[in-house]
Amino acid sequence: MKRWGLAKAIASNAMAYKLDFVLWAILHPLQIAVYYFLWVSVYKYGGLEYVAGYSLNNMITYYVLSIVVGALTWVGIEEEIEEDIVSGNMIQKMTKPMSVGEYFFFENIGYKLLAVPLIVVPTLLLGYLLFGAQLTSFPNLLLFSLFSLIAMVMNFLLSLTVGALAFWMKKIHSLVRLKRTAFFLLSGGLFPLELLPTGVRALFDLLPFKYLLYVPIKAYFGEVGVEHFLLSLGWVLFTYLCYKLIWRRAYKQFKGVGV
Amino acid sequence: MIIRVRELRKEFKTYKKEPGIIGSLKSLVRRRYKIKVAVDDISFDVKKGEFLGFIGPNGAGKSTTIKMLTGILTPTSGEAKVLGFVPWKQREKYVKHIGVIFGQKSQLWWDLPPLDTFHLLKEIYEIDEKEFEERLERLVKLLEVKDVQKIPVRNLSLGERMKCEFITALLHDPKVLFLDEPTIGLDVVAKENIRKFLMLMNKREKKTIILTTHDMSDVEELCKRVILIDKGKIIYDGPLKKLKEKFVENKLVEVEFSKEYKEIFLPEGCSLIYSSKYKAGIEVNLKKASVSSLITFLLNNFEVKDLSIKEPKIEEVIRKVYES
Repeated sequence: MKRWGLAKAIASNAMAYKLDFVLWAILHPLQIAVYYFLWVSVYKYGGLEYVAGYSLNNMITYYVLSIVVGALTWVGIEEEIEEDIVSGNMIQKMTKPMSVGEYFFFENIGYKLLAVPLIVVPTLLLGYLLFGAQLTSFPNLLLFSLFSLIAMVMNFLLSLTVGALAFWMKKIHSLVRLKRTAFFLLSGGLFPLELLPTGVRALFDLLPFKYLLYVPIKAYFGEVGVEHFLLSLGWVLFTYLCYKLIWRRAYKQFKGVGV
Repeated sequence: MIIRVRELRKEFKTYKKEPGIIGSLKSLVRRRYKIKVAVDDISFDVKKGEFLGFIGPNGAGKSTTIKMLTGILTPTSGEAKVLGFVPWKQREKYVKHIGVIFGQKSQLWWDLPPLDTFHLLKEIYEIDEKEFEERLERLVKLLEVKDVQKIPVRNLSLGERMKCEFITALLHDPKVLFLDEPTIGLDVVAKENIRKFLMLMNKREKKTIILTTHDMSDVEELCKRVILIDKGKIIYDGPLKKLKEKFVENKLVEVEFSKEYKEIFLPEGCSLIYSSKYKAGIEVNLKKASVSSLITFLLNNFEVKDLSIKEPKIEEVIRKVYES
């Protein structure tokens, strides 16, 4: 890859903040523990063997994977964009021979490179060895990787699109929090979408958000089809167009303040 | 022609808000917009290898012009071509060929040594490994930052940091340099170092340099040509010398005599500004007399030990331009 070196350089520069990364790494296993104890008590006190078709082990696997997918695909660059605009750093990015989106993309790849050893590997090890998460077949693992990659690209494009609003709104903190909460629920981060009432579920199925988390996890369980693949590509295309459109307008009305 | 600008214009839409919460609420319902013209239909050309100074007071439109020429801002109307590119339309291809420094905005990573930023830029500009090493070595040597480049930026002095900023702008060997207030806040020694370096870049490496500043000594030392801009309009474009000639009416000649004179008589058009035991300052009104005739006069009538002609400071020249 032509830009591989850029991603690596950004990742190594980000390592200047070592302690922050250690805390980042510790945070995730902690989250699994919380989910684990929550669901163990739900199954135990309810005397349940299955919840919405999930056994306890399925459920734990779901949450372990949700953390892995989250770490690999979640993109939160809106506030970075906001800060770049306010501080004037956007000007530096605009005088580089790549689009601002492209720069952020490789920066993001750089961070994901760090996420693999720091979050993905420890979370999986802990999940398999301690909490009893289930293994899967090799083809399912490949599908899981494919859908995770799609989720990452889509997440990235959505983050850039929402972030571009900072060109007009200046402060987008509340908007970003709203987005985070909404995505968490709509993508199946809070609980598997099967737990929703049928009507609401049907509505969620029409939205693109389930491809961010729920569908990659389902791929791990071997429960996806070609239609998921095609629809997710359609949504990627759609978010790409949104990103292109909003950034073209953003560049045009940029006032270049902060310097 | 390396830069060609024709009737370039930039308007900013701002809205007026009355102070306080009530004012804020009012402005939510109905905003009153005001159009501010930052750059008002300016035109100029720059040839290859020129060292051009953009001068003018704060808010005159210097930075806005630079930002349009570097592709950051899209103008309201007018056209500009730099190295054959329309900056704001072909930005990503175009910026490979230019170097940009905004004196008030660092592009070094604050918590890392400059060397790390240099390596990041190597990737961004896709500079060949060998070329990168060669250029870096040369720049580091010229600017004397061999040790400095390995210290985290937050621990550097402003002068050291600025030198490293120059390296970031030159690593990809740009043909044109845009420098917006590059010496702002620097002390005299640091300024001098940067100026020497810029002179070298312009003379030896034939880089075209466009510099904005409100430090007039920068311009006096570096730029042969200046563009004076005020309220978005160009009010003078030409050699610095001519700007002085046009607006300078008086020159000061300082004389040191070998003996004491009680009375100093002078030809017409010359007046004594001050005099002490052996020294005198004489102002020549260029409309009525000339410096050379005064010197001849002095040499014929007095025993002169030393003599010097003081050029007017450019600040004064510019003040005169505004007054007229």
